[in-house]
Amino acid sequence: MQLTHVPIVVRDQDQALTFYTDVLGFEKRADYQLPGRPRWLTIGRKAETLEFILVQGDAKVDLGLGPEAGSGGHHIALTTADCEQDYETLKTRGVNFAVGNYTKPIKQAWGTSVTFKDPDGNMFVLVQPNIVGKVFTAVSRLRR
Amino acid sequence: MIEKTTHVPIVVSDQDRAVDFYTRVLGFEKRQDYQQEGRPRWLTVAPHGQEVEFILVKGRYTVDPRPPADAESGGNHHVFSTNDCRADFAALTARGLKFKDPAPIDAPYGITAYFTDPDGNHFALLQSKQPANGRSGETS
Repeated sequence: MQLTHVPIVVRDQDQALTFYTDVLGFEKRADYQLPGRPRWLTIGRKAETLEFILVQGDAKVDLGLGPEAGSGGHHIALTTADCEQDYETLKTRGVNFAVGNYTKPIKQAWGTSVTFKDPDGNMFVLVQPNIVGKVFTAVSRLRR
Repeated sequence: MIEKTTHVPIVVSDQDRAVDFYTRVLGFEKRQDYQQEGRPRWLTVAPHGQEVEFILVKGRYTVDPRPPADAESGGNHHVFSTNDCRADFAALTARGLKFKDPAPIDAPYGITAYFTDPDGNHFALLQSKQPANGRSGETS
């Protein structure tokens, strides 16, 4: 069993598609609608088979955390080789990096990361792991 | 620029119940489970052999429209590929998983079966008719 598709709930599929392709640089993978069914719209990174389904809807998540909190763990994590540079690039494209008390990349024990939102408030963390982060990930995968 | 996906979230009301479901019933492996002071418990699971991890986040998830467990997800579901949907259906049923339908469905695009986790999150198991287009990670 391997994960191939992950849903992201958005209020406006066209607006979301523009954001994910033009701003974040995803590629459109599927876009069709069977009679009587919701529009099936998916995107993915060029380098991976995993697809995100942009589902029309209105989702709310309550983690019981205060307004100062970041994503609280409710996010899609993506890796990058240069977090600071991506932050600058995406900021010029209008990406919203204001999440709780956070607005820009922060250095942590395991690397550099920054949190951002899509137009519907879905949260993402862009992670540039350092050697500690890479070792930690490798070890957690070996420890079965 | 952004490279690849490493984690995706699933909101659950009870992390212990969820980790039991994802490991014992679905057969995933637990990858990480720790809690820093004042932070939510970081609990992740993943299918064997796959890099992407699910973060089992404690919280409450509402979505409109939100179909019940015995209805169509309306596309708001995670998809898992399998190379034998009928065998997985039987194995998972034996572990107590309730599927939406009494048997896998023969669809034009493949053999598929729908289920939900204990929190009502929707999933589809798909044995695609199309070959795995030569890219890794397509099927187990």
